[in-house]
Amino acid sequence: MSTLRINLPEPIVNKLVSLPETGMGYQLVKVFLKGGKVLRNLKVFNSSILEVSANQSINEAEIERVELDS
Amino acid sequence: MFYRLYNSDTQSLLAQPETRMGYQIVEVQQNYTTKKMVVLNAELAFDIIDYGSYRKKMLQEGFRKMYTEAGLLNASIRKVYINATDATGMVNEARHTATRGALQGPKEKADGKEVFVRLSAYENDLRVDTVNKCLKPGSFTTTMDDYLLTVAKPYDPVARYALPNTEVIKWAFFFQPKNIDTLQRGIVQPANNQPGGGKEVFFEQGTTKGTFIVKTEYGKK
Repeated sequence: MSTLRINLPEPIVNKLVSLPETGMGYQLVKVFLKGGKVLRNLKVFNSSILEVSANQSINEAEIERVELDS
Repeated sequence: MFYRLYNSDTQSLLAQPETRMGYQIVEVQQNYTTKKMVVLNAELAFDIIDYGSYRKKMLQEGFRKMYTEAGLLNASIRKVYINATDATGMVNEARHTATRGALQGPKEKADGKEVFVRLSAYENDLRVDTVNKCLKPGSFTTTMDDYLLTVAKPYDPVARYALPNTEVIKWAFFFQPKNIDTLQRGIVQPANNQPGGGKEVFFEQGTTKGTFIVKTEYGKK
């Protein structure tokens, strides 16, 4: 499955940097989109780069907030 | 024990969600009893209580070799755990019967001498506080001995530390925490379709200022 990488906006990066990692170098997150949709179990590398599958095709502007996915 | 699945079971599992990234935890019925198993890649199933002991074998021999060695699983898959809470519980069950990740390890103080290594695909690793020269809270590292072992063998760091396999490790950041710093040790648990098995060390509160020693390219002195 092809994937896309999205550079997260600075406020979200700052938030993720303050939260614990899932493993070395990455965090599993859920992404809340402005339209109300929630994408779960996505990877963020270096607290700053969100990986999504190509068919999810979201962009940075659609992201409302990001939380760690337990 | 470990088993390969009939193709029909593989196809069935592929049509269902993963429990966590890279694997499914299933309940199977075999000889009138039920048990839980961990299934990797919808192809290779491990009794959950044995899973920890097979990780090293998989790390050394690889998934495909184990797959070819495995007998067929003659059991019916009754349930796939897809609820995140259930899944976490199941994984913890496996950890407690075999090995545990750093997050489940007891807290201890650093001795002020031991060096820890953080591997990263990113030269500007945001978990490294280059201003205060320390590791930020909530970050993972490995031990110096495990890093050296990984480089010397060589092991694939992505497999050994169960990293997302789209990442290429290029950098190593070295830290020497002070004896007031707290850490938790454990063994990397399977994730991201990788076996894990390396040592991991979690710094819930990070490390104190001035503990970052140096950054090098991965594998270089």
